[in-house]
Amino acid sequence: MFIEIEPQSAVPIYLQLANQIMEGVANGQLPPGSPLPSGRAFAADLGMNMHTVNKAYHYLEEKKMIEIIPKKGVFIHSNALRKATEEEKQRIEQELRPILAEAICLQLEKEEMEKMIERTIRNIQEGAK
Amino acid sequence: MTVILMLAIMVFIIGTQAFIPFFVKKTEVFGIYVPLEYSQKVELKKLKKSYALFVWLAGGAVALLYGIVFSSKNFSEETIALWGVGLQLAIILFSMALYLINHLKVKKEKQQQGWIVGKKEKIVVDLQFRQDLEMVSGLAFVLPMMITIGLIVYTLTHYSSLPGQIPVHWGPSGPDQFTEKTVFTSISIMLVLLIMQIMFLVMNHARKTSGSKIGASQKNQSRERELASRKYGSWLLFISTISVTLLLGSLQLSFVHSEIGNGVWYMALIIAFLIAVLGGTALYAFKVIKSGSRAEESTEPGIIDADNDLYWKAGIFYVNKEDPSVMVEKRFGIGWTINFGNPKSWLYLLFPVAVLLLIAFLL
Repeated sequence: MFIEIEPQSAVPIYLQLANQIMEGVANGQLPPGSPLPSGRAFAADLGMNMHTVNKAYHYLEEKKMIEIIPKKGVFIHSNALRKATEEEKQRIEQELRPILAEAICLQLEKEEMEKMIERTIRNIQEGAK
Repeated sequence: MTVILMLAIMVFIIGTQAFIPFFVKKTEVFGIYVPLEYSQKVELKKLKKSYALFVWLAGGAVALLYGIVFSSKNFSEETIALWGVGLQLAIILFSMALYLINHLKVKKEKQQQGWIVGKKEKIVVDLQFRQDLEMVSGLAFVLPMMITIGLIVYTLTHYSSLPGQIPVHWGPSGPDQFTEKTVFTSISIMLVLLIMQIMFLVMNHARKTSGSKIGASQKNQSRERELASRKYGSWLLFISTISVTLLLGSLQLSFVHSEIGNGVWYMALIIAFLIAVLGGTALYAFKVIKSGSRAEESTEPGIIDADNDLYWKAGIFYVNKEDPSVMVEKRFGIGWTINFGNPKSWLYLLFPVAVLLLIAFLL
């Protein structure tokens, strides 16, 4: 699976990395247990500091999307596709809040937003950009 | 004879120097990154052609003059060889100067015409890359070292029966320079061999861990090329370490047991060595060029590779402090170079040189 990073984008690079890996998990390109490159190899491929990759990996590790097994490597978490816990549901709701606030300010209709969500879900599942 | 040999080498140098701009990656014009859509511009093609023409004309004139002057009168072999090598260097320097002039021209064009303005730069990484990478394992590079260590032990156990003079230089008819026998001089060749074997091992490892540079506009094609370059590059290193072990190992054996080996045998050995290494190099270049020459994929408009001109000084030297790679593929796509921005690279570069100098000094 190809990861594509835009170095000049406003989105921090570690987040671009993490988001694309998460999309790979969501659409099945990265099934649970599949290996990811080591931090050093990934950084070399990007031509960037290892710190950036480690930040992305720790971010995903906290979300229980990947597991870092010492001496063995980095893998998609065996339980990456799971039923969300109450806590996780709450967190996602919290994270949606500022986006929805902005949408309300910009006077987006509820139906419009629903369509947006449907379209985005379809794009993620089909692996489309 | 020497004149012909020198001329042949000259023509080879002129040919490679003149054709390099046509062999390299399309998006790489005189060491400057040019997005694919501009890389076929007429101006750039003209620059390449006039560069090749100049190298051919100037190089050809030098070679012709050299051939006429040195085959007409009686010069000593030394003078012929000295002038030959000097002029070869001059041709290389000339083509490099020409390259630099064109490098600056393309750089200016790129800025003035804004080839990357308003384009989205993309860095592409393949998560599968390391799993699909097929390279000769490091262990295979350790095995020839065992032979070297074995030969060192073997030589030392036969130390008392060795001749009093140790050969340190071989000519076409066998050893022609000698030094006093000591424990150190009797195994010095094997120590040099060991350093070389370690260098091959380190280079193989550095390429394995080096970052893959996948182009944003032709992902699959450049991925294949990266994989091929590493795979066949690794085979070339393996062939080299085996050949050099066989060559130096048999020289060592031939002086422990002076009854084996004569002039013909030495020549055959050296020729076999050259064929193996040159053949390996040719195979490597052929495979890499072939893997990169498949049909272009359709490219998304407005998307370009990350512009790394900043890290490629003069388009030749890679200096990137952030990149943990020690070795990187050369910018134009064939061969490897060092990341001078990584302190480890300097260690890798200076350590073997220091040890080899030390051995040469102690001899």
